[in-house]
Amino acid sequence: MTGDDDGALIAAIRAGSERAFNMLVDRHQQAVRMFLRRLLGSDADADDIAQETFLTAWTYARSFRNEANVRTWLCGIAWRKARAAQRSWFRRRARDGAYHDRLSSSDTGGAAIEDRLAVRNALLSLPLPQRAAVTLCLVCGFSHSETAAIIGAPVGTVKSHVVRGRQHLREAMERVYERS
Amino acid sequence: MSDLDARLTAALRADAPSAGDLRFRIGVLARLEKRQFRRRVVQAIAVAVVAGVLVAVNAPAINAWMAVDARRLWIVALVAALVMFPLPGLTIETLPGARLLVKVLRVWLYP
Repeated sequence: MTGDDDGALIAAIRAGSERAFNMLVDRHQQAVRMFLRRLLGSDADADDIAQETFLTAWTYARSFRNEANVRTWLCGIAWRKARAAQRSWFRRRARDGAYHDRLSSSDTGGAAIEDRLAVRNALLSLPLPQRAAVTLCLVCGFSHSETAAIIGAPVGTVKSHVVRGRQHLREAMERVYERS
Repeated sequence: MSDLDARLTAALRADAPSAGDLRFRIGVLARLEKRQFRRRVVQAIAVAVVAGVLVAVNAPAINAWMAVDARRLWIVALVAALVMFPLPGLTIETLPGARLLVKVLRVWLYP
């Protein structure tokens, strides 16, 4: 997958091609959903916002600048939507639904459930911008500058968020390790 | 990388959504379709309301204009059809042969 391919897809979407839109969704849904799931703590609500993110991308494909990275652009849309949702109704639903969502998931992904719960709780205890920075850098593999562009923060702030966030998560893991 | 870091990375990346999730894609397309349909219906209703108001306001003038030449009735019928068809959410372009019909009527009315 290259940036050129994505640029061609965006050009086709601008022309109204639903086939190109399908391909765009297939290519990037995993990254966008992963980001939102870690950010919000609820799979169902994360997927809901991810779908809205792709609809926004369809509507505003014309506003995409070709020099930008499509995945960065999509995650930027997802971030703004998640932040807006968090302000209104999301906090309550995430708290209620997250634990059930996690336990009902059949895919353990190779990580022990104690680890996952500890990391999830530690992640959710971080402020939203810090959680976003940690998720984008450590889970989705974005660079500090890409993360800064997505969440609209200075690169220095992002680096600081990531270092402190990682330390916070490590401490949570250490507590699990000591208990076991 | 220490064992702790490895476990942290594994825990962070656990429960990743599958790469080709058809259900998710269908969900996005269903929302897109719903949104487009809603927009078309709103546009159609707006067009119908504006047309209705225009006809009501200009009814005497339209009657007088039609009385001059009987063929003008067809023009009025065509305009009415153009306004009516979008009502269920259809656009004129989606109707098969709509463009051809307009062309034929133009040639017939204005030889």
